This record gives sequence, structure tokens and C-alpha cells, in this order.
Amino acid sequence: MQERPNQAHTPSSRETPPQRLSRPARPVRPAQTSQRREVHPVPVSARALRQQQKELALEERRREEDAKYVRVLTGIDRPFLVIVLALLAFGVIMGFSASYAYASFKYGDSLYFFKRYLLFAVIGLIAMFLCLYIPIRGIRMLTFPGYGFAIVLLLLVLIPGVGLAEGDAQRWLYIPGVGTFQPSELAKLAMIMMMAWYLSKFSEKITDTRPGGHPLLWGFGGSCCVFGLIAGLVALEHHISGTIIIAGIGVVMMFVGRVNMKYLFIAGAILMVAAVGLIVFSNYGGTRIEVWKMVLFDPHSIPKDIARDEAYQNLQGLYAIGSGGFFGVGLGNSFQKSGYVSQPQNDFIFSIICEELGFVGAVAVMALFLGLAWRGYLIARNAPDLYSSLLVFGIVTQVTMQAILNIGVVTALIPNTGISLPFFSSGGTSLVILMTEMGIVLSVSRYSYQKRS
Amino acid sequence: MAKLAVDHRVRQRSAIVVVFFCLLFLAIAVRVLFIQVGNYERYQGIVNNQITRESTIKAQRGKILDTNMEVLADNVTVWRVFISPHGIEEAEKARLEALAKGGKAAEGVSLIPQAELISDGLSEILGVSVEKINELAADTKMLDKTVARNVEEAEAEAVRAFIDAHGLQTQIYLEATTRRNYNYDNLAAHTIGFTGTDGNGLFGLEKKYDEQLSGEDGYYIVARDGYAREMPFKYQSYIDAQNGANLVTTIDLRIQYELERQLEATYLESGAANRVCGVAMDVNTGAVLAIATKGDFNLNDPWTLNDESMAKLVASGYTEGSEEYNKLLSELRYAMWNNKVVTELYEPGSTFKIITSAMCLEEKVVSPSDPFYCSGGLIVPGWSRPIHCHKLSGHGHVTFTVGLQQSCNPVLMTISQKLGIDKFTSYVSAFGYREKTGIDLPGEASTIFHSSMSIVDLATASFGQNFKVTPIAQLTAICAVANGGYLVTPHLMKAFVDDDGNVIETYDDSPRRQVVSEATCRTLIDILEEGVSGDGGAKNAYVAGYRVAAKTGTSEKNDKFDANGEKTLRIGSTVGFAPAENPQIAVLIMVDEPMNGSVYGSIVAAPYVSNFLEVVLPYMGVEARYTEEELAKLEVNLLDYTGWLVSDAVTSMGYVGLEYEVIGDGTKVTAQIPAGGSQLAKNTGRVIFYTGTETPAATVNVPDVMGKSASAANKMLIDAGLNVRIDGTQNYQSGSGAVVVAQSPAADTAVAPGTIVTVEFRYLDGTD
Repeated sequence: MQERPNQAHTPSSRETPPQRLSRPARPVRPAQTSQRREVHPVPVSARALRQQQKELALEERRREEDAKYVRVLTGIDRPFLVIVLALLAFGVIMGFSASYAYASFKYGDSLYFFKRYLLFAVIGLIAMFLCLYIPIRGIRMLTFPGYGFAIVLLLLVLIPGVGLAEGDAQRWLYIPGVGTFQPSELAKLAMIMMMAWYLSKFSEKITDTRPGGHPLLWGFGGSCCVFGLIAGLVALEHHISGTIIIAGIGVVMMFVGRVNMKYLFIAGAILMVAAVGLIVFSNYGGTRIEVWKMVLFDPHSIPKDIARDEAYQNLQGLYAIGSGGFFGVGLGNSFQKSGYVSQPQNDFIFSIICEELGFVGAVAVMALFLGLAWRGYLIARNAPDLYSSLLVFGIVTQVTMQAILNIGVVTALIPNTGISLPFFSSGGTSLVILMTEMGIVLSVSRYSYQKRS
Repeated sequence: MAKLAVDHRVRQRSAIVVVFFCLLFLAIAVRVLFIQVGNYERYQGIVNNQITRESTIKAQRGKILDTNMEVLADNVTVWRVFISPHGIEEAEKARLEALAKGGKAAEGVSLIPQAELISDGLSEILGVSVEKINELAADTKMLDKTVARNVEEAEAEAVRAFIDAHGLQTQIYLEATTRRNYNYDNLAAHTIGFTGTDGNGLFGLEKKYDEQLSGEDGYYIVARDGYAREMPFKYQSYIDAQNGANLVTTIDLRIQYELERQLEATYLESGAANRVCGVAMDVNTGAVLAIATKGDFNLNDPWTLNDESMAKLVASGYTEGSEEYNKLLSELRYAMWNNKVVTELYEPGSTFKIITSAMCLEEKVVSPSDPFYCSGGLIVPGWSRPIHCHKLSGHGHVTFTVGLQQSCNPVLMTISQKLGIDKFTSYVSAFGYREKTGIDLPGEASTIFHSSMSIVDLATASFGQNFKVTPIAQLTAICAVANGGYLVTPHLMKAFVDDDGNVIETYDDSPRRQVVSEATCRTLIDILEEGVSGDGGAKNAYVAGYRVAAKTGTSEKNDKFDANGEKTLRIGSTVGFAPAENPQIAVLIMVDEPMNGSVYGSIVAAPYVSNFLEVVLPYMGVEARYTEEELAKLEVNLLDYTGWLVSDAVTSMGYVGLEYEVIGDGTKVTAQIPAGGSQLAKNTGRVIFYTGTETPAATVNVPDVMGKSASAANKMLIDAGLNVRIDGTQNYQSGSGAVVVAQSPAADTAVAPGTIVTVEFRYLDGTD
């Protein structure tokens, strides 16, 4: 129902300027025009009348609902903060547990990763609390500089000698004194901010389906450009997972930002075809898919050489998850983290959580992410304006989507792409950026419309 | 009054996204539940399997000892050398990195690739090809690839030095293992047996007592992480290995050595085509004191053919490596490993006459003084021609005693006919011939005996033909006669002891049954003893100072033809036991298909029985009791009189009872012939003392005494001014038939007067 453009003329729509009403009548659908005017209802049929009455009742309920809310500058959203802190604490503990055997082998110091975790967690917390005091206006002001900065960094990383390569991917920048840093992490935030700005700024043009309006150009084309530029640059780094995440966030934000569903479906279909084509015709992705199918459908009859090579990490992850059972082998007692799941503190940390804490732990992790998404959704819903709403929802989408993709990979539901698990997987700058994003969400929550108590 | 700022459609769409997220998480949760709870046991099994390493702790194989706890077989530490291809790859990476960095980091870094360094070094020390090692090193995921096994300590030390010199501690490893070591190479080879590469017994005692010797391996179950470090694990366990028990055998190294020496001698002399074998037993317990077969092989290298077998292989003309070649090689190996005493059958021949006599004496169908007449053969109903005696001219009128001593076939045939088929057969069974002796060696052959006997069969069987037994069964039956009628079980196991010397198990050596009475045995032993010391067929088995009972035998091989297609192949054997007054040890020597000269047991076997007993009886603590005649012939050990006053030397000669001659007129002895330390016979010995300036310049030529009778040879040598020393049978004067079969120095050698000439006598008149 919300797809109907005439909804824009209901009094509840704040963004609708009044002069829109005096626009020339739409000759294409005159019957609808008369139907829409509730001041002079001219029921043309009993069915249309019922429809109109239903809409009226709905509108009444919305008004009543809205009336319960009051916009107050109160404290931050406490449940959200609690969830964030819980995830951070959980992440630090599991990161330590998963990493200490590997750390003692690799660096001779079982606390190596734990120390880094703690350091970046503290920096992240500071960043989060700093963000709390930036008003939404201030964040909005950073949109363009941030976007530009991200593009510069993404270009820098592509310059040989400046960006560090790992395998055939070139996605790291070295910052003296800090260490390596992935510009794509920052680019995600910059992209979300720009998308939020764009979708709110051109909200009317995007939703304008009347003659003379260009919803395809403004809604679909414009949004695609905003995230496509970033996604394209990240793709040039051969950073497949980053590209997928950025594109995914972009599409979700377009959807939420009221871009016409029709375009999204068409674009989605085209993307699917392209992805499948890429998988079928590119050899690299092809073997990956073959191995993934083996791991998903028949993990116990994989040939030894593949099990020792391409499927190794996935299989070891499955072994870790499977051997955990319902309650797990106990915190710190994982066997698989000791050299079987390689780099257990990284992308496959979820498998170690499953081994040590069992199904209970796995559900707890997923529940926390879902809780984060839920509270994030409420903050976005109650946000003071469309920009901050989209910003919050974009951030929450990023975190949730990464969690889903990561766990999907670890449980072999989707092919291995190399996406880290937010709050859990080790990675210094990404944690700081993540906490910054949490700070932004919490900052927005301060301006929320709250239910009347 | 305010309302929400965000458009409700935006809110709705966000809600849809959140619901979508919910569904995805739900799907994942179902998936996790499926893996974790649905397949928990399976995955837990995989992980347990993956992290645990079960190491076997090898049990130390028990030693094999002789009856005096001398070690026959034990274990020595050898090393398994293996490389870690993964370690080599890591080290190579580090080396290249260091070289790439250059400067300080590259200092002292080898320019040779790790794999090349290691393959060249190990190849040089261990003799494994460089290509092979490179191939092993190429499997870079592996941590353990064996380069060489059973590496001896010296080479292992070289490998260690190589590791230290190049810092290859993470690339090359050594693991201690054990190898079976046989201290006496060929000694009792067929009986001790050997083990395979996996350490399990393949032959002989090693096989028979494999279970006890092996012990039980222990286990060490431990969890290891992916970096090969141990980690705590609740199923961790350590079960120590239980070492194998040490087998104390009945074999006496000294007796075994002597038996083998005698077998070797007759093997060389007779050129036995089908080898020789011998066994000595304690007559009262059945304990095997010595057991051997010649040709033999080296237990430390059992897969290599001995010279005789190799000659056969070469003679076959097959190309090396061809199928026929390998088949023959394998056959020859098995033949070489065969323990002839236990696994091969033979017709016992005349040595069986002891058993026939025992049963007839027991059943009183004959008494020692019964008269018989031998015309050189006997007609037996059912056979067209007379069955011959070995002495075709016949023994004439003889008593039973003389008939047995002379090994007269008609006498034995006559008494066996009197005994009858049924009693004969049941005694054959009673003496244990028709069952296995139960000796604790693998592969004992079963007797081939008539299932139903005819009169002719009985006649031939009475002198040990037309049936086949193992040598061990034959000697076991002889032991029954020697020990007063008790059938014992031949055995090699004396006891099992643990490493601390505690006895775990001992052999129960009680006899199986009594077959004949002690009185019968006594009568028979006396007859047999007289056959040795008197003028019987077993004179060559005589040992001075001891009363030996013995019987020789020469059996025809009726199922094997010689090169000309004739049945001329024989087996010469002798059984003997001593001392006759209270027998303790019985010995059998069997020469299968003698090719050089005599084929008779009295020639190819009896002298060696004598030689064997001569050494073994004193060793066993049996006191020698010499007759007057023997005492006269006893040898004395000549002192070195050089520097003595002539008068003192002469007085000394009076004491020891030797003749002497003094040459020159000095007061002191300056030289003597024979030299001090020589053995001289009391009755014939003569010492020549040189005094003053006289030296033993004059020489005499040694006369040729070969083939001369004992007394003639003795006279010739003494007349030539030489001393005589007798080797072999010593009672040469009691009979007329003994002649010289060897002399040293050879004839016509110029020697100083008084030099000892060693001669060997043997009776050649005995024929069976």
C-alpha cells in the first residue's frame, strides 16, 4: 500500500509541501484522484468506499500512535548501549580464548592478540563516547568530507607501493605507529553517511512517480552511483567480501529509502544473473563453489587432498562447531583453536565459540546481533529526521549483515568470502570504526522520539 | 504533541528488513543446531581422532639364553632416521627471507638450499640415493618421512654430528629402535631362528616362543595440537609396555660348540650332499644340550645363502632376477633354514636295532647268550630272495650279544619274527615313534610307518629300514633305553625368567611313560658298551677313560637315486650315550649322503661321536676312570727343561716316567725336543736333551705311515727317533683294524729328532 504515490498527500506526511496539492490533476487516473479527496468523498462503489474507510481508520491509528511519542533530548538508548558493551566484552573474552594458543605458537606470547583487543576496545570505547557528543548536525556536516576522504584513501591503496598487497588483494594501508588499516572499513561508514544524506535530501524526487518525475534517475540511478563508486573502488582492490557488503548495505538502504521496488527487483535480477555468470565462467569462483557444495552437502566424503587444502578451513570450522554439542566443551577448552582452525581469532572465531560454548553460545551471539538490529531499528524509527534514521539503519544493517554473512560462511551455508565477525574477529582499526559507528547510533538515539511515559 | 519524524513507509520497510534478518538468523540457528546437536558424535569423533596421537611403546623382546645364562640372542639399539619435509620447507623460507633482507640478517646464512644440503649430507652418511631423499622432502605437508631404518650407532652419530654442524634440529630426527642381535652368528642357527623386520619370530625358538618373547606393547595416547605440541586431554593415557620374557634354553653353549665342531668336521670330510646333523640330549630329562645342522647360516644375516646353496643357485644357470631364479633362491633359503634334526625324516637303519633288541629282551624272546647262525642272509616268508646281512659272507655262529655288536641283520630279523608284528608295532608306538616327540620347535615332521605290516616289513623294520623317523624321535627312543626305559620329551625350553631373574615358568620334564624295564636296559647297555670297547662295530666311538654305549648305522635310501640312477645313496649315523654305568648324555650324529669315501656310520659318524664325548663328558663333570692299559697310554705334559741342570732333568724324567736321551756333555740343558708344553704318551714318549754346545742340528725324515696299522706306525716313528701323538680314537691297540688315516708333519718332511708326529687312527673294518 505504501507504494502508492498518493499516500504522499495524507496530512501525516510532513515532507509533503502544500503546493503539491495544487498541482494539475493527473489526467491518467482521474477516478483515483476523486477517490483520494477525503474532504469531498464521492464513493464510486461500495468496494472503494470500504477501502477508503479502511485507510481512514489506519490513518487514525497512526495519528494516535504518533501522539504517544514525544521528541525529547533525553539520555541515550540504554538497551542498545548494553548490547554493544555485551558484544564488546563477549568479543574480547572469546577473542582471547580463541587466540591464545595460536598467539603463543606464533608470537610466543599467548596474550598477544588479547592485548591488541583490549587496546583497540579501549580506543573504540573512547571513540564511541566522543561520538555521543557530536550532534546530528555535526555528523551530517562530515558526510561530504568523509566520502571524499574515503575515495582518496581507496585510490591511495590502489597505488602500488603505497597499498600493501596480501595474496592478489591489495587492500591495506600502512600507518606508522598504528599498523595496517583497511580503507574499505572507513569507506563503508562514509558510504552509509552519503547514502543517508542522498536518500533524505532527494526523498521527494526519489518517490515521485508522477509524470515529469524521474524516480528511476533520482531513486535508483543516483543511489547506485553513491554506493557504486565506493563499491567499484573496493572491487578494484580484489576485495570481494568488502564489495558484497557495501553493495548489500547500499541496496538495503535504497529499499528503506523508498526507492521503487520495481527497480530494485529488476536490478536484483540483473545482479543475480551477473553473479551466477561470474561464478560459472570464472575459474576461481568456480572451484570455490565446488568446494563449498562439497562441504555443505557431503562433508564426510571429501577427497583427502581437497580436505587438506581448499576445504581445510571450512571443514575444520565444521568440526569445531560439531564437536561443541549443545553446551560446548567449556570456555577455553577448544581443541580446534590449537592449530586446526587456522587463525582462529579471525574470520572463523564463531566456530570456536560454538565449540567452547555450544549451541547455547551460538544462539547467544546471534541473539545479541539480533538485539542490536532490533534496538537499532527502534532508534532509526524514532529518529528525528530521515537522514539520521537512514544513517542509523545503515549502520545497523552493516553490522547485522556482516554477522549473518560471517556465520553463514562458517556454517558453510554460503561460500567462503572472508568476512569478519563484528566485535569478535580480531582487527584493530575495524573495531575502532565499528565503535565509532555505535557512537553515532547512540548519538542519534539521544534525539529520539520517545514514548510518553 | 508530536509525532514520529520518519515516514511510516520508511519505518515499514526497515521493519521488513529487520524481520528478514530475523529469518536469516533463524535459518542459521537451525543449521548450527543440525551440525552441533544432530551430528555431535560424528564431529566429536573426528576431532578426537584428529587431536589424539596413539604411540606404541614397543615391548623389548626377551633374550634367548643358554642353560648357563650365556646370551644367545638379544637386542641392540639401532636408529630410524627421518626428515620433516615441513620443517625443511620452513627453514628454506627463513633462509631465503634472510638472504633477501641481506646485510646483517644474511650473515652466516647458507647459500645452499636446505633440501639439497640435507639430501646430499644424508645420502653420504646413510647411502640412500639423493633422488630418494629429495622425493621424500618434496611432500612438504608431512612431518615425518623415514629415510633409513636400522641405522647403526656409528652412522647415527655421524647424522647427529651433521645435524649439529648445520643446525638441522627441526629438519632431521633420529628415533631409537631395536634390532635383534645374535651373539654367535651361525651357532645353533636353525634352532634359535630369527625374526622378521616387524620383530616377530619367523623360525626356530623365535617363532615357537614368539608370544612369550614378544611381551606386550604399551600405548601412549596423547592429544597434540596442530603445532605438534602436547595438550591436556581427558582421555590421555599411558600403558607401559610389558617386556617379553627371557627364554633360558637347555642348550649348553660349550656342548653346542663341540657338537658343531664335530659336525663341521664330518661335513667337510664326508662331503655329505644332503647335509649332516646332530643332537645331544640329557637322557634323563630330554633336555636338548646341543642341536645342529650343517650347512648352516648366519642368524644376523639369514637371508643370504650359504656357500653350498649359493653354488647350487649359480649352477642352475638362471639369470639373476628372473622368475625361476627367484623361485629357486626362495626354495634354497627355506632348505637352508630347515632344522634337519626335527623337520626331516630318515630311515634310522642299524641304530634302530637297539630298539628291536630292547623290545625282544623285554618280552624275553631272546637272551644275550642265545646262539644264532648268520649265513649272510635270511629267507623271510613273502620275499623271493634272502634278505642280506651287511656282511655278505655271514657272521657264522654268534650269540645274540655278538650279533647285535656286529650289527647282524639275520639275528635281528629272527628275533623280530619271534616277537611278532603286533608286539613290534605296539612297542614302536610305545617308544614314541608314531607320535610327534613334542619338541618345542616348529615344523616337527611325523614318522612314516607301515599302517599294516607284513612279515617282510617286520623283517626290514627290525634293522631300521623301510620306515622313516626324525633324528630327534630316534634319539628320544634311544634315551629311553639309556635312562632305564623312560620315554622323555625332548625340549629346548628350560625356563622363562623376567629381567630381574625371577623365574616365570619352568619346563616340566617328567617322562611320558616307561617303555621297557630297567633290567632290560641294563643288559642292552652292557652289550652296546662292549660293542665299543670290545671288538664290535662301534669301536670308533671309543673314548679313553669312559664307558660309551653306541651303535652305528648305515641306511640305504630307497626312494632316492644317485646321478647314475642307482640306489647307492646312504645315510651314515651313530647313536651313543655315556657313561654306560649311569648314562647322562646321548648323542646322535647323522651324515646324509656322504660323497667322499666311506658311507658307513662307523666311519663318517662314530669317530665324531667319540671326539664329541671326549670333550663333553669331562665338561659335564663325569669322572674319567682309566683302565691299566689306558693309564699306560696317558699323555703327560712335558715341562720346559731348558736351563735346568742335566741331573735335575734326568731325575724329573724318572718321576714322569718318560724315556730320555742326553746329547752332549754340558751340565745344563740348552735345548730339548720335543719343546716344553708338548703332550707325550707315557708309554712311547722319548725326550732328547741337548747340553753344552750341542744343538738339534741333525734331522730325520718323517716316514710315511699312512694306511699302516697302529702298532706298525708306532714302531716306525719311534724307530726314526720321533715322538707319536695320537689324535682321534685312542684304543687303537685293542683291535687290529685301526689304521693311520692322517699324519702331520707329512711324510718325508725333515724334522729334528724327537719331534712329535701327530697321527690319526680309525677302524676301517667296521662296515655297518
